Amino acid sequence: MLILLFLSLQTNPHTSADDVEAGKRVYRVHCASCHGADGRGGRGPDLASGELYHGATDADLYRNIEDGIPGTEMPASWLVPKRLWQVVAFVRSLSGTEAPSSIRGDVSRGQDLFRGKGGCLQCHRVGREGGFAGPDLSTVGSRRSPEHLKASIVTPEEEISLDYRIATVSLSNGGVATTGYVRNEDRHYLLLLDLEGKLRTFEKSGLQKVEKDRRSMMQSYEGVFDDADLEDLVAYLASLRKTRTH
Amino acid sequence: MRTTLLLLVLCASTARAQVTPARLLDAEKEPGNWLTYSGNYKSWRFSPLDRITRENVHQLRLKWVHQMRNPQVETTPLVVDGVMYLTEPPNDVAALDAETGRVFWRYRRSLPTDLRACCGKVNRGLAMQGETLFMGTLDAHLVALDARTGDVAWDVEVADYRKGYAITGAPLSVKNQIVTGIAGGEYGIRGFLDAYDAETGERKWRFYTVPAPGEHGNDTWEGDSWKTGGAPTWVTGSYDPELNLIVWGTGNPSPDWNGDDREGDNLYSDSAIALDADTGELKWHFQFVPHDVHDWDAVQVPVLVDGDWEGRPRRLVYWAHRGGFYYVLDRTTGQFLFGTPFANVTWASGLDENGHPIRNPGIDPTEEGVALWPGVQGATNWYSPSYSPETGLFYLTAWENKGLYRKDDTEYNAGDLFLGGGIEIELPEEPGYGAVRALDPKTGRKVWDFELVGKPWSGVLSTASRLVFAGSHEGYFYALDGESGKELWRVYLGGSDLGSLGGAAMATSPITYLAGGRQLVSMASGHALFTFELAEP
Repeated sequence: MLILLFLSLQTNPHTSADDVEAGKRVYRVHCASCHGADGRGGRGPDLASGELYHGATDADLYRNIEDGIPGTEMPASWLVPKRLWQVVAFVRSLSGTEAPSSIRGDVSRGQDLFRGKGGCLQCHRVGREGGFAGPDLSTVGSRRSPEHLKASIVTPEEEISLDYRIATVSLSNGGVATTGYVRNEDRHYLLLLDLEGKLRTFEKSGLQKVEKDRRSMMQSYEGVFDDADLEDLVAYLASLRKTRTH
Repeated sequence: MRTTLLLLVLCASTARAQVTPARLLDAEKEPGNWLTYSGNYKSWRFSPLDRITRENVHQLRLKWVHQMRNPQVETTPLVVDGVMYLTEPPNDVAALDAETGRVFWRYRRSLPTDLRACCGKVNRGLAMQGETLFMGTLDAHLVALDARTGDVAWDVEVADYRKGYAITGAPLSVKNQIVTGIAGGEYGIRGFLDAYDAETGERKWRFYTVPAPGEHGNDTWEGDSWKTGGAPTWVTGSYDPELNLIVWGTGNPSPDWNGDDREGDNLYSDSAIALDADTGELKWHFQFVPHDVHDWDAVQVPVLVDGDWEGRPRRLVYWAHRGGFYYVLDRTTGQFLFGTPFANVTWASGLDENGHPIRNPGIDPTEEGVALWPGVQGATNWYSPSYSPETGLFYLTAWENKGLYRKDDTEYNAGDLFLGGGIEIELPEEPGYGAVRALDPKTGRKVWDFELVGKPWSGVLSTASRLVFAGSHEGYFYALDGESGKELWRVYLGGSDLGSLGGAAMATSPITYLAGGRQLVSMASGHALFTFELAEP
């Protein structure tokens, strides 16, 4: 408890220019693959925007880097305290350096495209609306960079979230093949969320065939949307943000 | 007359409860007990018991469950004359009736809050001698407990936990000494193997696995890097009483993934070492990976076998190493006899005539990361292999996996992690798979594979009835046909993903023993130890 109190009150003891530089080197090895070489996000959130959704104090940053953030893709790290503080110093140095936003689209038109022409709600959820066959996008703007969002629309097969790996199973006794998202698999069972939204268990010994492929259930929208549409859609998706939890 | 008989019986049972050095030497002669971490000094994790057979194993059913406070349970219990002794995470000990699972006593150790246990607050078991149990602790003490009461007989500090030292492995009882290894390869410790007087706790000898200036091998370390060279000894070794040799494995040099400041072979990291049991003097060593920069510890259980080698009887050591090669060594001299990959390996094209790896180019960790087979958890790891004299096969659990190795700057601060990089344990694009695997120990040839989707984190037990028992990361406990690898029985004990570091709920190695005149099999999963018996005796 005392330690927690101490940490929550503590400010970063390693903030010199050398510390920031050292933090940048650590960041390059441990953080850049998700948050981008310049900290402007990618698969992981933008760290340069000044918006930090899981706590914005030095102590929050320290804790999140050390322990990871439960319920997100942010893993724990094995960095020693000095290095942790140096990364905090580097992340702080990014704040306010954000380049002019690359978002030029029209949020409201993007929303219309999302709900209308794109038919995106058939598979994705936003708030209380939408389907379950694709990732929930309610707060996707907090997690993904605009560039990543655009790539996900144009080349969805490039990066498939672990929860959306597909398997198609054919039963030995015939019948219709079932396609679904793999929820769990071991030597004996394959558990799917099928495309009708049912949770189903298949015993592998009763299967004629299991096909797992790396395709995305989402088609590419290249050609469906023109460049202006894409900018508007990205603007809308980027606006779907969560409020700070603490 | 009846009184006399009763007294005799009482005396006999009292005398029996003493685990004398002679009993440990002849552990094979009392298959109803499980007297050391690996079952006997040769570390075969093989039981001569044969009441559970390939024909009746399908009748196995739950007998009792022993619940604990915490995962991850990595302990191998000891069973002595009807009493089971086991450690519970982090450093508790319980004594149970082996037949009913009911608890006689529990020892609960109070631990400091600032422990340095990088990779889980785990413990792998006890050693016993006389009426005393011995446990190494996460705060790097060796504790002696009275087996009748759980009272502390003595408690000595082995090393300073604040500097990253910890004990996670089970000690080994040899003669009148208790031999213990040390963990801390991620903290820049200077590794060693220690022996303590079982009666008094007085240290009898220490062998440093990283030599100081003036000692043989110090010139394999650049500058002062030997002071923080790692080479821990965190898994229990074996003992050859005829050669009076303790054979033990050593872990990675520190820092793990950046070797720039420790140029040289870094002896005796990643090695098999053989020490004189009375003095701790080094008799031979064999280094599996000179100048390791991938954290490929040689912390496997050394399997000691006397067999024919090229037509002549020879004392051998069988060793499937974390880096993916299987080795046969001469136990008298440490000479390399044979080696071959037992899993997919992309970091070396083979072994040279001395058993040293022929490294492929571009395998050292970089800032961007280098992807190799095997990944950092290895093609196998600390969990026990098994050797069956019945089938003549060497069994192990293996990971076929690829991982990413990154290099980072590093700076030593006592008690802080000293890693020099980072890792990605599993790559989603290439998930790999696990297997229970049987090798011909003479050739390293794979005889059969029992494939698993998840990667196992538990070891293997074989029995005289040609059965193999093994656990899986998926939560299943299996009995397989030792000859063919065919599944004969399984039970789902659940709890995958409960472990630390993405490790498994099932993270120990099974044992078998007699209690109440019946053969039982025990395996831990999640927070509990599960014990099975045949439905029909």
